Amino acid sequence: MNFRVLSPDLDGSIEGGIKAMLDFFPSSVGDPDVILVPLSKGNPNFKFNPDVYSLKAPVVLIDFWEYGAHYWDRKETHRWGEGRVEDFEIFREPDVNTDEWLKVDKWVAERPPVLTFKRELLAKDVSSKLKPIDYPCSLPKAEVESEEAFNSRELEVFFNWGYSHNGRKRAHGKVFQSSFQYGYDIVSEFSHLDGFFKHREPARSGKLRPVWVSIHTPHFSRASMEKVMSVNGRSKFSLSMPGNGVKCFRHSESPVNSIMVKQADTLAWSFPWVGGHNCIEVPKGQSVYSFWGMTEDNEVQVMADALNHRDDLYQIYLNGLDNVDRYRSQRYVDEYLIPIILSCL
Amino acid sequence: MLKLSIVSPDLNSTVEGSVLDAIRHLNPVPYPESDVVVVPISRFHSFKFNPRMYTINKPVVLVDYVELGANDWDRKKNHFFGAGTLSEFSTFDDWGIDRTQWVEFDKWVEKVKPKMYFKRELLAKDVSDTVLPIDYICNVPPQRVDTFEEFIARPLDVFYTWGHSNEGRRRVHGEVFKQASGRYEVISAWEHFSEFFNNPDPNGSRKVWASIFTPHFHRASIEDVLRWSGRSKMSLSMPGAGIKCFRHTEVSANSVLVLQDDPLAWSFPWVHEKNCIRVTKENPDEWDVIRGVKGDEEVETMWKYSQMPEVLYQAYLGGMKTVDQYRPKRYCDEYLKPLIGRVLL
Repeated sequence: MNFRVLSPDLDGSIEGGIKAMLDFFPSSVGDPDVILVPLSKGNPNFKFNPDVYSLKAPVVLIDFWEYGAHYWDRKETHRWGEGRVEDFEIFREPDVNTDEWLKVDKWVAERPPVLTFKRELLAKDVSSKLKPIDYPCSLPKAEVESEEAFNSRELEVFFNWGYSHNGRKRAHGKVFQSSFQYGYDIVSEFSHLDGFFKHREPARSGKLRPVWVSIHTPHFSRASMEKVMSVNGRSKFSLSMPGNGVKCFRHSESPVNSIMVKQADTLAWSFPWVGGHNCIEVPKGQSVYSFWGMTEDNEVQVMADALNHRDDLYQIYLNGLDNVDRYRSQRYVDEYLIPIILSCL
Repeated sequence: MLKLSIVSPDLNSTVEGSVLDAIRHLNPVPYPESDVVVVPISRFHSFKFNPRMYTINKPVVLVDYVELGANDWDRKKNHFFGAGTLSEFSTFDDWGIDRTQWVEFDKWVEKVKPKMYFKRELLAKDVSDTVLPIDYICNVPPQRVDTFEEFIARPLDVFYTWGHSNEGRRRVHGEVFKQASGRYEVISAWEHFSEFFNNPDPNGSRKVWASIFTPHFHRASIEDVLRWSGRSKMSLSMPGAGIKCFRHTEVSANSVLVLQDDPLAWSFPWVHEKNCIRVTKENPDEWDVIRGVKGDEEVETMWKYSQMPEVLYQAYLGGMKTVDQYRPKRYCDEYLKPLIGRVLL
């Protein structure tokens, strides 16, 4: 099979994370068998490229649009080509060139793709022509730790976050507010870790407290992947919260060497994350207020309860490692995306 | 003229810096030349009672900076050395504290019966002619007074730098994050200031709060603290191991001090809206409120006053006058010396 990637953006832009995945599709000179058209919110100056109307080969949409976790009520999936663009609040944001995206919608309506892979896809809306897609895992396999080594990790929780979703702020705040109740110490900057362990002091009882790491990392102060994954691998849990989309790239980083903790959701996943089996899930209600933690900021409680009461964490860790391996870019493209595309041709 | 000597009750002659700061401008003379002996005491791990204290045969003034543990003390009953009530105060049970040494000191105070007792954590109800409050002095030199226009143009509304010695500090930090959505942006690390302000403010109306966890092993310089408190309209100073904190007389040097209401006596009172902003607790006597794990009034109070610039400016001007009374020379000459002089009457 010969795949060709074509951006619907006049300037050819494709978001980095999506492009990195698409690079794993086989491609050669000559006419393509399938054309992959990636869609995402990335470029605020997006302009529709009318050349897509002249495409001859079957089109597969790779739809990574995010709908603003503050807005989307998760009742309906947005499907391109149905004239519903303006029903979704994200398209009214000032950095979205809505008129140009309406042209995309019209093009999809007039030239339906053979298949759409969609990131923010509700499980109830999966069909033979509409399948979930996720952030692939571009990280190498981590060494599998023994049960003894895992259980003696020096950190219990790692939460590294930037602001794109209110729930992250609220969870971070709750980490600080619950330390007394659950009796843990907090490290809140990467640069504090060494000093913390050097100067660590016991509680009044003389015992050392567990350690939770919750770090606010603004977009202008990103930590290197090496640093993030190093701390991730020292922690039993790694919390990955929604951002502008429900699915976050951290979902395929956190479980690489830790147990991912994520909010329960109603989305379809290529390889499901199942609470209590390959991750820890935080139950959520059905309103946007619940999603962003206004009515339920229960991440801390769920993690503390699991750490204190579950005896199967090591097995969950192992299962998570197995699951994230299916998301590794080459395997994900070869064993998940391409077979589904072939079945539609 | 009154001649004072300073004699530490510690076998190693330790006098902690913060205590010494408050009394060094008393111009002490050697013990043999003195009329009155000032005995400073504060809580530190290495304290060992010096039995030679029993040889003192001059009037004693006790300067008691012992903090009673803001997470432990119910603020109902004062602790006074010499009263034989050590066992009622858990501050003397903390990790690393050798209670037996404090018992020895307590016995000595009981025997010498100080002529005057200056006490940091002194409940207002217990003030008398011979039992008086003492506070952290202000070592920050007088600062230029901003005009109203300069004051309201400060880029920060709130500045809060804290280390963990009281659960209330963590709770407020958490609440700053939890209440941020739709209200203000949060800077949470010293290293983020410059990058944050390098990013343009698109509407010119953003509100910014800085809440920075600064562990004891990662202290910021006083220059940095003052630089940013001087760029903030309000600076929050929370109780630590004691209710009174050295931060109270630092940040009030160039910002509006925000502090909790308290039942303590102060050398020069901090009065709501006159020279500071006081945070009133809804249930100040509730144990969880006292120990800092409950009660979110700080953030709401600061949010309210961030929208009352005229009131803040008046409190700023009043605070600048009050804090000047806490500067070392004035504090010794105008407060301590006249009071100690009474001892000889």
